[in-house]
Amino acid sequence: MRFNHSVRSRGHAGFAAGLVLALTLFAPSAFADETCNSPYMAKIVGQEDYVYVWTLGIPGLGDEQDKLVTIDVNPASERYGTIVHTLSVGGRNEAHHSGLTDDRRYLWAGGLDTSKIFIFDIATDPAKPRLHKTITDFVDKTGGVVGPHTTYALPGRMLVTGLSNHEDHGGVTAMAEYTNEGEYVATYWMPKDGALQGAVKSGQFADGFGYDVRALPRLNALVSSSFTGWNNYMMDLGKMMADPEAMKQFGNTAVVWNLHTRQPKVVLDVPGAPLEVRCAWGSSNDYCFTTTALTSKIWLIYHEDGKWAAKAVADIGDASKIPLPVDISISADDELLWVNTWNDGMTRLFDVSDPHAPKEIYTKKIGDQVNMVSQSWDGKRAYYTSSLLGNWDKKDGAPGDLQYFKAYTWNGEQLEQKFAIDFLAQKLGRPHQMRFGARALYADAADAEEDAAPALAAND
Amino acid sequence: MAPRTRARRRAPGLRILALCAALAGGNAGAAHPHGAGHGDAAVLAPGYGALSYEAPQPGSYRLPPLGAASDGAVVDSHGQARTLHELFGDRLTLLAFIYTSCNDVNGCPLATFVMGQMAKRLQRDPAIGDALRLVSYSFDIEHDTPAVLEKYASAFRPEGAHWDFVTAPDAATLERTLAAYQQSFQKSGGHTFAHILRVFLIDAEQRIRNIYSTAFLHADTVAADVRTLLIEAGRLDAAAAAQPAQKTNGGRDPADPHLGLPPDSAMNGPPPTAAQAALGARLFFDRRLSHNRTISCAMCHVPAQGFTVNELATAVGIEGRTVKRNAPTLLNSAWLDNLFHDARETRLEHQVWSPLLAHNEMANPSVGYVIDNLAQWSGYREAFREAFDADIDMESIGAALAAYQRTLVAGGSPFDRWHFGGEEDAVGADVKRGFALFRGKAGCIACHTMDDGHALFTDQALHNTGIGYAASMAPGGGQRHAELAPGTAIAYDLAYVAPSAERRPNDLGRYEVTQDPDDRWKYRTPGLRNVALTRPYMHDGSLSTLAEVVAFYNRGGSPNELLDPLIRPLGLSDSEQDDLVAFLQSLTSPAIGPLVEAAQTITVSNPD
Repeated sequence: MRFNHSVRSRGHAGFAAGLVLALTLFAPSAFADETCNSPYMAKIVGQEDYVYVWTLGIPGLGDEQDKLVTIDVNPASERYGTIVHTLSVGGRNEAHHSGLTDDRRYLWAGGLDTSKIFIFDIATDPAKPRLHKTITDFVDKTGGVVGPHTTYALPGRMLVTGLSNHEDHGGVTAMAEYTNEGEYVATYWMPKDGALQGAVKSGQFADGFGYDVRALPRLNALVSSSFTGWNNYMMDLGKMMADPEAMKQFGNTAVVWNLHTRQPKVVLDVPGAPLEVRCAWGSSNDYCFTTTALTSKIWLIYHEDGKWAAKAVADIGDASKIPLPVDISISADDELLWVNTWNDGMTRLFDVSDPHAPKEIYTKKIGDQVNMVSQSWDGKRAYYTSSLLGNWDKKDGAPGDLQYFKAYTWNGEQLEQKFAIDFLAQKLGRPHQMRFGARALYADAADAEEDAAPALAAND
Repeated sequence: MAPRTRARRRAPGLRILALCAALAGGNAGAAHPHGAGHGDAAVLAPGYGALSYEAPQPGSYRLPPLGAASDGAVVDSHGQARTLHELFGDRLTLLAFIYTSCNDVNGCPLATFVMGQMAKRLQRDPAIGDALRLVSYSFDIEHDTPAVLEKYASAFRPEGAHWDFVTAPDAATLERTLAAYQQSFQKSGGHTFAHILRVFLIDAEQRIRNIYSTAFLHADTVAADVRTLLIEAGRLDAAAAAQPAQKTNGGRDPADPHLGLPPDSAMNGPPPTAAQAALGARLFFDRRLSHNRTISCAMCHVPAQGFTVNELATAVGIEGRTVKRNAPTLLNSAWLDNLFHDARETRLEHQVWSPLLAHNEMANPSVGYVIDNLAQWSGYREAFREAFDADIDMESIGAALAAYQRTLVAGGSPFDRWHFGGEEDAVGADVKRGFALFRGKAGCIACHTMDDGHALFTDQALHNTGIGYAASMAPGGGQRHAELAPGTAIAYDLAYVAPSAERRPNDLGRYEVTQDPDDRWKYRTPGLRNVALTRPYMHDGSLSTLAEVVAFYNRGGSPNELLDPLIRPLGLSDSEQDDLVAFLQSLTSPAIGPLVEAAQTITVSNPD
């Protein structure tokens, strides 16, 4: 499979210089993980121009609603380090993850509460995304899937993982497939006891829960993880931790699927709420990592001797201090894995050169809570945001550095902060998922530099 | 009640179905045991439910002849020319005048329903089995051809039953026959007729012996009348005529899911019609019925989780907002006259508006917002019109949701079959021992009361058990335990979660309604039916298992100055506590499965 994007300089030296596109997939080591995007997608391998931050509205703050915030991150730009655009979408939807289509023209951003998916056009003017389409009938079309989470590019299509369902707001859920145009294609329910759909239950659990998904095309595999249902991800964290019934409702599984047929093959025990899935890039590295939010461990899901297996390979902090590992990011060469622990605000770098024995080699406190990390193609830049979930975040009145976007450089030994934006002071909300944009991706992109609205001044 | 009043007020000017019902009701309203009229479709006729009074003893009364049952030519459902007297023969006959397209639930369908019940009874009861014939006579000669009648018959007639479906061969014959039975009707356009429902009991000498209308027609009374006539004719021994042994449960079949429950007439509100219940169900599962269209009633009253939520101690509302109490089950709520844990509502019709409008539940910004939305969504206007003959408004919405909830009837548990049905081996010895403790040493029955012949296991009153007191007065901070994964538990310092935790909402129970300090931490006694399915327990869901609940009461609750005097240490041994749990587990109804299956066939409405 090939992409043949035509890249044309836009005349802004700083923007296009150094931007290269990966045109061929599956070439090992050449493909850094540009914050864990789909292998089917065009990559920004040089300097990214923008970071799009999918941001949760906060009652009583600013315009109170969810928005896509565009931040200029190109040091060569006059507007470097500033918000160049915000686009409010109406309501609070529990904005969470977002993902780009394979052609990278559209950014799909899901709402875990309302189950809406907002499709932003980031190609026409990368500095000024437009709301292209809103999918409001996700639950109806999918036959009851609630909480669109990961929006993951497949060729010409998007695979959308759910977190819950409309019967009981518990964790049983499905993945749904859409065309890039936003037309519903199919629903794939997660295998569970009593409805394994041909999958092999390899351990104790087959809960039917879902969260993230990643593809390993060379093994014709999809790997999905499992979190919890609407009841839990929407409720107050303190209330949930005190509720033993609620605490029983977390996912304990990862599922390996047949990528081509979308049929589940094997259900693996990964107890303690495995969240993000990141697969290795090396052609002989037949494994993915995930981390369990509650038990605070790195798990390796690997293919060996023709079989899939999962095992815990490292602890992340001290589980009894409720660190809650959240986002992770694997490096281009499969040597390093960034792991954020939300509750203590730490980012932790693990040496995963031996995937069976990761070692923590660096830590840095980013803020008083930290969720997402997105690193550049070359691993030299890393961006962080703070928010986990609307009702799990530290309360806004609590002291500390709570809701932010922060840009760092990584020199191989330490992170150095370049700039930070306080999303509470700016009356924006809770920043969550970040995706990168680059003007040179789009030959037809409007020249945004001249007509861009000043930060925060205009919402489309 | 309110929609019923409204429908009555509007009935004269409305479409013919309302008129049909009004006529029937006008004839019968005063006879209803509770004095409530059947003047509209909002109330199901008594014939659909259990008889709310004891059926008369056969032979203990007379049924004086009311005149001759006229003859007349008819055509049966096979197209054969017959006469009425030929059909009556030398047996007793139950004759109903109907038309097949009648959809006034308390008119022709009621007649056919009761005739069907009689047909089944005749097949079950050899003493009267061959003595009664059933004849349904259609006065819609244009539409109800023999073929139509045969199709209609096949939908209702048990195989082998002596039940003829006939109509008149021509208009003149029809007119003569109807006049002879004083069965007036008005053709009202199309195939709609306004008529007074009349069903005739005719003896072997072709005399009318009783006439039943909407309020009177019930299979129990018809059966008693049949036996009375048979005794009079010397065809049945009076002693043998005593109807099958009736316990005070109203003669319910031991397999009846109502067994052990109060009669439907004791429900706190009108028994629902099918159309009302169907509309209520549709609303109940409509997730659009919340401000951001994510929460339906069913999200906190999940059918497959005992019509509560097993996965949460206390409920979670819109945008994840905290609800401080456990979602109560809706099963058998039809008979409750105190609703919510603090009993702040008394009628389901009113209760529904609290969650619809509560900021932390469904958060609709206004009553009008709900009504206007429903009016725009496909099909609701028509459904309200059909079910209530009313517009969508605050009253009819309440009535519809109440109607659905009143169908969630689940008795007939193993305990009921044993205790009320006399089936000795329906439960084990542990259940029987547990029940003895329940009403003896443990004294649970003082609040979880039972009545003569039925039991809701609640006194519908409020009590302080100390659960609420302990939660309000517990010191903050310290260590907590949490299970991070199956088998992996930790102790953690609350400080690690505190910045993310809202302040736990306080809960003072009934006091929050009355402001009377004596009412602090008092909560409604919940019923115990199906309690094995409705974990976690107590008003705050703080106890996970029935064993924990029994242990809590065995300890004497949580002492406080307002502790109910009935709560005291019980001194129950471990095995006695096990027996109590076994008793509680025997209260699960076999009706739950069908109720859940039925609920799962109802469309969940989502935004489009």
